[in-house]
Amino acid sequence: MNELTHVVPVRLPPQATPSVRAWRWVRQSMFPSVGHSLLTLLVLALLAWCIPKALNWLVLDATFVGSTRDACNPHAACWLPVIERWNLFVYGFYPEAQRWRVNLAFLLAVGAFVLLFFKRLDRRALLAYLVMLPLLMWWLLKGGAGLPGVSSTQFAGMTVTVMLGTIGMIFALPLGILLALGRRSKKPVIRLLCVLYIELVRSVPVISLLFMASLMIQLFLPPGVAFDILLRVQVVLILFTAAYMAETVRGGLQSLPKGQYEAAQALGFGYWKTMGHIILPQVLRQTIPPLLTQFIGLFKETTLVMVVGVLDIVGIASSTAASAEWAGHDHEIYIFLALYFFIICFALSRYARHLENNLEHDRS
Amino acid sequence: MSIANHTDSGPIVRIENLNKWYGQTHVLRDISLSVAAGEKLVICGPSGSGKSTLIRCINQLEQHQQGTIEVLGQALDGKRLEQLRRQVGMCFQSFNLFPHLTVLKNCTLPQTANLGVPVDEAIERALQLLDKVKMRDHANKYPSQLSGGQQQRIAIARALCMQPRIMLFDEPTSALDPEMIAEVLEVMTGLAEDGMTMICVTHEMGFARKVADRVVFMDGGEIIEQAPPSEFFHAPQSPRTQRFLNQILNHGAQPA
Amino acid sequence: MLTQRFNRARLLSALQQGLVLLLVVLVFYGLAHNASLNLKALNIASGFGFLTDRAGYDISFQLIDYAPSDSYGRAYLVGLLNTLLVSVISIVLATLVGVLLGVGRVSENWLVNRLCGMSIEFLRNVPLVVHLIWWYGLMLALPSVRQAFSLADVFFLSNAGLQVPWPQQGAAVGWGLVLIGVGALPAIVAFKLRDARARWRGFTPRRWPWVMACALVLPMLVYVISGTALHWDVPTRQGFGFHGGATLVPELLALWLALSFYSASYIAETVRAAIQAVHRGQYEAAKALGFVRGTAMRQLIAPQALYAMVPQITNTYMNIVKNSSLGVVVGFMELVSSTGGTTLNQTGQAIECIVLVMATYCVICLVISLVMNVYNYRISKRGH
Repeated sequence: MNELTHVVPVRLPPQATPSVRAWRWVRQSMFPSVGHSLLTLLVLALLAWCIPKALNWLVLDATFVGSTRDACNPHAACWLPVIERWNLFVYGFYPEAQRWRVNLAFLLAVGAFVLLFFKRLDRRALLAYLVMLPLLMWWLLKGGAGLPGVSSTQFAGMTVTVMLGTIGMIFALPLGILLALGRRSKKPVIRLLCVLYIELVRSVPVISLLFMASLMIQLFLPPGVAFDILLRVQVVLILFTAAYMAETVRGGLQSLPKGQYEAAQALGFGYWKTMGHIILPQVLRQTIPPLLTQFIGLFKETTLVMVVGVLDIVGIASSTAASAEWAGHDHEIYIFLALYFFIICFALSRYARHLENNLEHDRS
Repeated sequence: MSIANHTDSGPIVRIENLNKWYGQTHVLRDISLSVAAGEKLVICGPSGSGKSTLIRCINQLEQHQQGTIEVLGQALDGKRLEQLRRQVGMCFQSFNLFPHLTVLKNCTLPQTANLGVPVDEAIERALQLLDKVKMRDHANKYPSQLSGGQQQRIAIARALCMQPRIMLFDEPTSALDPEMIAEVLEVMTGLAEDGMTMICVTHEMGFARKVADRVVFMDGGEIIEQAPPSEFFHAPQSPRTQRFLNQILNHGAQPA
Repeated sequence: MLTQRFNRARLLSALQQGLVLLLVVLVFYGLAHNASLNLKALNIASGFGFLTDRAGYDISFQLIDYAPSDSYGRAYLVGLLNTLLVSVISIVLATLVGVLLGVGRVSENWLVNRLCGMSIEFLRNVPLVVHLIWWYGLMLALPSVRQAFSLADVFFLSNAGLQVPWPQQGAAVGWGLVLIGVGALPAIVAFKLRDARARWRGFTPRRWPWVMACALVLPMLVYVISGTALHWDVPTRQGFGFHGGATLVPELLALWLALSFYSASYIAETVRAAIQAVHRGQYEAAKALGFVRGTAMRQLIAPQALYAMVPQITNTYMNIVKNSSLGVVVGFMELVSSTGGTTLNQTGQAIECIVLVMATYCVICLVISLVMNVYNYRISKRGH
């Protein structure tokens, strides 16, 4: 046996000094050929021209402190509109004394994402949290049963976005799952209804549905019953997102090996037990990254509610830009908007990709 | 010496002290090998021994860090790779036919695009070689309509269309169902009989016994033993070779 | 006994479905009942008769002639054409920019690679509404008419929009396009016949130059024979405005640019994923056969990537059409803001207007998805 196992001396690959390696890397990745070299030079020239100017205007010469527009440096960005009106951007017209409720609601919403991260958490605890979250948030933000009520007209800014996004997502998911299951059902009536619903909702723009919510739904309710505009918008967003989620979940259901269904049948599980214990847990784990992407989409879609008069952060920004006090500084406000969405959406998409990589690791 | 002027006197492939690392892992250790014109070499060994890596270094699909490889008299230094690769034909384990082209176009496109051969001549040559691998009737089909064995035969024909001086085979039958292995080996045997220089990485010991001029055994990135088939199979020198042959030929029966 | 149980299961299932159907019907009936009550109470008319009534509002950008004295029906048509126009030009620009960004994203050049990556991330993560407001602000910040940018004194860009030369006989252009299409037909048919006969060749020489040449022959003949030429209405400065030519209003420009760049990021991601999804063995086979990287990408990798891209890109195109409804944010009179907005407000017939708008979008999306399905089927016949 000893002849078969002999110690092999370990040799390391020949490595050039770090500076030589760095130079080689630069040469290979930026100047591999004549065409590429020209391209690189062009891009570098462009960057050299843009970046110092942008940096100057955005940060170095910009005004961050002050209270009126007179304090602004006219040749650079003035971030005062955003900083001065920060509370408006975040809380809207929410009464100041009750702002702690908004903060709490924010924390609870973020908590949902944090909990997703812990794999060892009991699934039922997570489910219970997610079921309680929308009710809790609605109660916290709107009031009633102990907390003073806050009218929907006072809702604006980030509060609206977070509320619509989180509650929308949490209700849309079970609905989406039901629709996906219904679409794959063998019963023709149910399948037809689900297909019609999904295809219809996916073929029309969100704006038309929002218009429907604000103008049409009133007509279909019994005379005298009126629903809050916020509630109507929330319902429409839920119904809309559910159709898209149904397609995502359906993709997950289709990609599950057929053997899973067959094994469950062979073991005597009925339809709902199969779904609940075997199929859905697997499918949902697999589709968390695309569902997270749907959430990012929903988050961006909430900006559309301004067309029906609900002021989200874009609405506040527009009105700030149009106000007499800060006229002419709309560039800064829009840059702030872009950055706000970019940071949140980018972070979420990175998180989704991280979850996806984790899933790959678990599977292999 | 340009590749075109190379005479048959020197070795077609000459490898000296080849060393390759993947990151920090040393996958090829001090490999020295020489293949003469018309010689048929079979490389075998356990998985992870570096045999595929070695073959892929010969046509520079992998880069080596130390040592020299000379193909057709020209040292490989990362330049003029396309010119080199047109002289070296390769067949892959996963066939790698181009799925969006017909069988015929799979064989003619490399000729017209890379060798500048006129279209009619390319079609002529392609049909001839497809005939040789007995796939001429399928010339207008798409690869996905054919079986694995058929696809591999077409892949061999495609490589032959470039009129290479040497053919490399990287486990050509490992991905095939057992009943299709024979047809591919038949083609490779015919090729050997026509005098083509071949380097094959394969587990098919029957093929090695019949066709090879030399069998090379690799393990752990080193060449352990090389000998003509008669010596290699009947009197292996190294105990590692013996253990490997035992596993392959007796499917894991323990030595006495 | 098995058949007994089987029958009972089927009976149960039929009962379940019947119940569901009954429920749906009841709900719809209830809604309809409420609707009719409410409409009567509010004194709002029903039916689509309003489409023949006088519209009474103006639309700033119109592809066909329209005046406030025209009917609501014509206003709907104008809105529809505007939607289609914005969608088409956005699809074109988005595809162009998206493919460039996507290919740049897989480039060997590290700088280009990273820059494209950052651009894609930025364009994608900012909502379309913010894009729109941004571009609209930019359009309005352009210099006034007197100091407009001009290209060869024929195109003018100012805060009143983009002035372009426009053919004087609008109908003639329509006919011209038809003639080009008709002229191209014989060339296409001839090539198809030739392909069918030359199946063993496996080679298709470049057809496009021939088809294009053939396509232009017919209009040229018509021009020579009838002597009618294409007159261009060139815009010229006049006082505080322009005389002649056509105006692409800033709202249209803003919507076009915002939609294009936003959607380009999605197309870029699709292109990147498709290119990276091509099996690594294909690259190796191409290298082993001595292909240069450029030829390999064009002839071998790109066609395979194209096949993988089609479903996603169809989705993106449909999203472009649906997102054109954002014209309402900047006041561009496309379908939703005209019929779903002004017409609805003026007639009060919310149900009819919204149903009309939604039905139109359904039809458009159906057509796009049908076209792409046919294209997909034809590619998949290749069997991969």
